[in-house]
Amino acid sequence: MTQHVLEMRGLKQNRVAISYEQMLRFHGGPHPGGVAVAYKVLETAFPLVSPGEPPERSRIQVVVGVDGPGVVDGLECATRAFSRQRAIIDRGAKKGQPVCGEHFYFEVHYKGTSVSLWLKDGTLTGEFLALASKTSGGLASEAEVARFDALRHEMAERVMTSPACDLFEIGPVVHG
Amino acid sequence: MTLSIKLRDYAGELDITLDDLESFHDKDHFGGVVLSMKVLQRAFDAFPGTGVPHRDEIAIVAGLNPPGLIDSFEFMTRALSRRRLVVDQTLAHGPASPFGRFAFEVHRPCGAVALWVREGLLPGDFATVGKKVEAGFGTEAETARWNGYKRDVGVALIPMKPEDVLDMRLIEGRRLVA
Repeated sequence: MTQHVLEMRGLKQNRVAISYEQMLRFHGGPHPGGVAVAYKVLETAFPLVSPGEPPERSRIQVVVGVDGPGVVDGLECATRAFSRQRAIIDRGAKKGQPVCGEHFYFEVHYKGTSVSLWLKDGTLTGEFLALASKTSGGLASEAEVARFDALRHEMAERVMTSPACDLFEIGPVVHG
Repeated sequence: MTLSIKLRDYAGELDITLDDLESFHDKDHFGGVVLSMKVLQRAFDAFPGTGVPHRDEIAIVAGLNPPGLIDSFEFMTRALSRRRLVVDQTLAHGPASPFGRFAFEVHRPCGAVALWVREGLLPGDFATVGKKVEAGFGTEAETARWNGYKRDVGVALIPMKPEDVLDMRLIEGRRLVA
């Protein structure tokens, strides 16, 4: 079984390792797919913005075009960017698969270097998105909840097993 | 010794370990990380037979707000982000810390308990040295001592039974309406 772990450095330059499983436990909710997307965003971005060494956790900043709980919890668990005021939600982002008017668009900034990534259209199916909205709004039938339970795990599995180039369009690395 | 605690959420039963809390917080206030788990273990033991508690059925009042403690309560219960954690520095029980007093309330639908750290578990100058260092006025020696306290207290708490760390009483007539 592949071990999915994000490596960073802590406040005292100590090793900080956050696994996908820890991100899922922190989230605990119905959106493991969002957690998986958050994991893949960071896994893809870290070597681009901090080549050769794990980034310092306290210097990682993120911009997100979507604030679904799975995505936010995943990014927060790994980077603490939301609770420590290093995250911005950009509702004007226009790149990335749209969901209810928001876009799966991400930027990861680190010490003046940044990269943007956005989810390719079609990564999330229409059925999945519709059921996600109904379930989180408490409007899904029992059958729909059961179907969504199956789909959400499938979606998370698919994201975690896909190479980044299949999931994201990746912009150029920008050096400030 | 591996510390862990079980909670439920939408995803089902979650087995949360001390390693999870330490990774999330990043080691600095390790004593608070360990204490947070002892607080919930002690509080949950007050209501045996009520099953694994659901995150959304736990509200916490804390008499202090040090980062390790608050981060760890958040990882275990999500009480901070889901607005069920209140910091009330008027809670009067328990020894002093630089961040308030080591006193807590844990509220669940089955009842509520008040808990506080037993006297004598912390070094005598824990609060005064900590307050000075956290405010940026500590000498090099005091800073080293404070950093040692934060780590050593946590290490000492790990093998202790929650009831040896915390006194507890039931809060009559109060229960969380989840």
